[in-house]
Amino acid sequence: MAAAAPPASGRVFQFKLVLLGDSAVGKSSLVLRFVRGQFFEYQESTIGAAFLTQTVALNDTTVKFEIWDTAGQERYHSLAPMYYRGAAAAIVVYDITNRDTFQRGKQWVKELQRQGNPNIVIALAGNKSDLASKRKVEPEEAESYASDNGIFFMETSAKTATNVNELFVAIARKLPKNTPQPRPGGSGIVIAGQNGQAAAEAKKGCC
Amino acid sequence: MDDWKAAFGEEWDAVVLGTGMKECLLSGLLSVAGKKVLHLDRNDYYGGASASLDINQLFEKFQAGAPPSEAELGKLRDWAVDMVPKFIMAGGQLVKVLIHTKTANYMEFKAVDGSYCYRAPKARSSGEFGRVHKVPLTPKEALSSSMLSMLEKGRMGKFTMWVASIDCGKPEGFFEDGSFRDMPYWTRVGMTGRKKMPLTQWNGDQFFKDWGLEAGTIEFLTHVCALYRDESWRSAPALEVVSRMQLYLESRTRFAGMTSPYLYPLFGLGELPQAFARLAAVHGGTYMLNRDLDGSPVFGPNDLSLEYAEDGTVAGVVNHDGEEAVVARTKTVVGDPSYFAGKTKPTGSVVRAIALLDAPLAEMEKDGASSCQVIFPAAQCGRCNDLYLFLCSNAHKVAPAGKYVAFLSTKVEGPTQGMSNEQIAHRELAAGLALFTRPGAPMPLHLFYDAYPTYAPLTNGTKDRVFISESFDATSHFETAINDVLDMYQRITGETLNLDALAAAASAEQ
Repeated sequence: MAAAAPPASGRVFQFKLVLLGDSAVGKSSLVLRFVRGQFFEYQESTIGAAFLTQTVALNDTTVKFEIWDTAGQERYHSLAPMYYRGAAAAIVVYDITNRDTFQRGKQWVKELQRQGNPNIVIALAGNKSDLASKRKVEPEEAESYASDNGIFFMETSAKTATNVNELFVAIARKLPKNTPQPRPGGSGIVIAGQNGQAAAEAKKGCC
Repeated sequence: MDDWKAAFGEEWDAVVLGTGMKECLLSGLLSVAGKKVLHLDRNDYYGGASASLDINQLFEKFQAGAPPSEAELGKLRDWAVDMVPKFIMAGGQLVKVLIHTKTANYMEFKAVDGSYCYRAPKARSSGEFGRVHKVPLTPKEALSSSMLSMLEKGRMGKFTMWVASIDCGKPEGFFEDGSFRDMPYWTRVGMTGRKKMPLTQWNGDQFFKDWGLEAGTIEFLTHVCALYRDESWRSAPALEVVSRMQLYLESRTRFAGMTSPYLYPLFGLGELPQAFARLAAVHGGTYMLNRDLDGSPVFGPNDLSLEYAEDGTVAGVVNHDGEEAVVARTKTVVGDPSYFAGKTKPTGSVVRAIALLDAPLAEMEKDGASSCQVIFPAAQCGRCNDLYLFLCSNAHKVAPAGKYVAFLSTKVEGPTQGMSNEQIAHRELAAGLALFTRPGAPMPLHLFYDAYPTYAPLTNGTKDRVFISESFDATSHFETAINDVLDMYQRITGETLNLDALAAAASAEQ
């Protein structure tokens, strides 16, 4: 699939990307479609991974996404602010067949603009576009909301893969490629690289 | 709400009350071990007593009157003010837990720049102010320090090198000399050759007498380096004193570029409970803050209570809100003391002052430090317990650019009956507060005072299976907190926590 980038020449940028939105709008499904090319009709609500990574090759650069799933913490409105802290990009997902999830999506956009990284790139994704016959939110309405709020909008279907890669590629293009990396480290101390220090530490073990 | 009630009323392996750092870590560890955990908080935010508050929450908590103003305080959203002022020992247990559980991946850390020690003025009544010295632990620092006499500089260098070199687990000569088989000893090279040092037999007093260090040196070695809060090092086993000094020295070199033994997370300590909560959620834990879709509370502050089986063990957590009570059935309840009135005892009080500043301390400015710890040894302040000052800034993303947040804290020693928090703070924290009133000192934009009791559980919970954590103590780091968590885990599960197995689970999940 297109998103599984060949090792591109040029520079590699890593960004934290988070998914937000009501339960069962298809956040995990979008991620699994993008990262693994998979779709399950009955996706377990918690996927058991802290985050997944996937790269997108642009013309002269490679964007590596570190994609965080909510791990179900949004279910009882208990998502920790840490989740979207430091995120360079966010995909706010709603279900086009459920109007409440669109309203909830708007609340997430507001929350991100209030609390998130000031330069965050926000994408609004109207998911389940394959269920157009049950549609409750018109794309024109979402489009006009998105342009009013300085974010961009796409309808997607994790089931049919429509616009999934396109969504991530569009985010990759919008992300600034000249600012210092928000994650990991920067001037900070990385106490557990995924492969480096953590692995060495784990081997050493503890008494 | 109905959805909430339905989920709440399920059967759980453990119900955890309060999302403080200890409770979140326990949730995380229990979830990783495959337990089905429900985690509740009566607040609508994570962290309980160990939260970092935003500026509005802070002003609300301390009833600051007028709302915070951006003109005075800079970008308001950039403030994150810890409710438990502590730093993380880079070589300590918490860092091990963060690495083994991979929760370190969720956070960013930065070293704390400076570690300082306070010395009282020679004549306390003369109106002079005490001085803040950089802690002279490396030979180079020792040489340039005004804290140490010329002779002492040499002795100190030798002493710290010896401390760093010995292996506390392997007493030198233990197996080679039959007569010392029952009494391990360590050696050091002295004027008269190799000298035996029975660290397990000696107490701290004997140990330091043997080294012949000056009283002032011993004071900062025990209070600043070994982090004793009082004089208990005198009777503590010398081996304990040495291993505590080792932790400090090792922490200073644990990661490249450290100039103090401390780490601190970007955005404040409130990130710790959130990271451990995420660990739990990733492994299937269910989280319910007291927040409905519209932000209103789901249940009242006193709506949770415990239900017991006939044999006296806990049977569930009852939520009384609304017409009908709903019970989360469980045979194990874990939580912080604030959820278990009548099952805890007071252990003392902590007093603190929180200052929002627009300049650092002069001493820090000189060293180019944007964060620091200053320890005020008890004897320098005419007290029994040390005073701690923490200062952080925009470098750790807890204050807007050019602003600083300082925490002064200690254990309350005198009576508090009928006194305001401000009065208690002025009595107990006087030496520290003086740093902000001396000439040329940064004048706090806001100063908040707080005094709160600490609690410990009455029983260890193995009988009724209600496991209560201890309130955060007045120590400057998390070592005692982690020990409490590891001990609770052992009582809850009957298993000693195997950090290596955890690491394996974490890699499998990646």
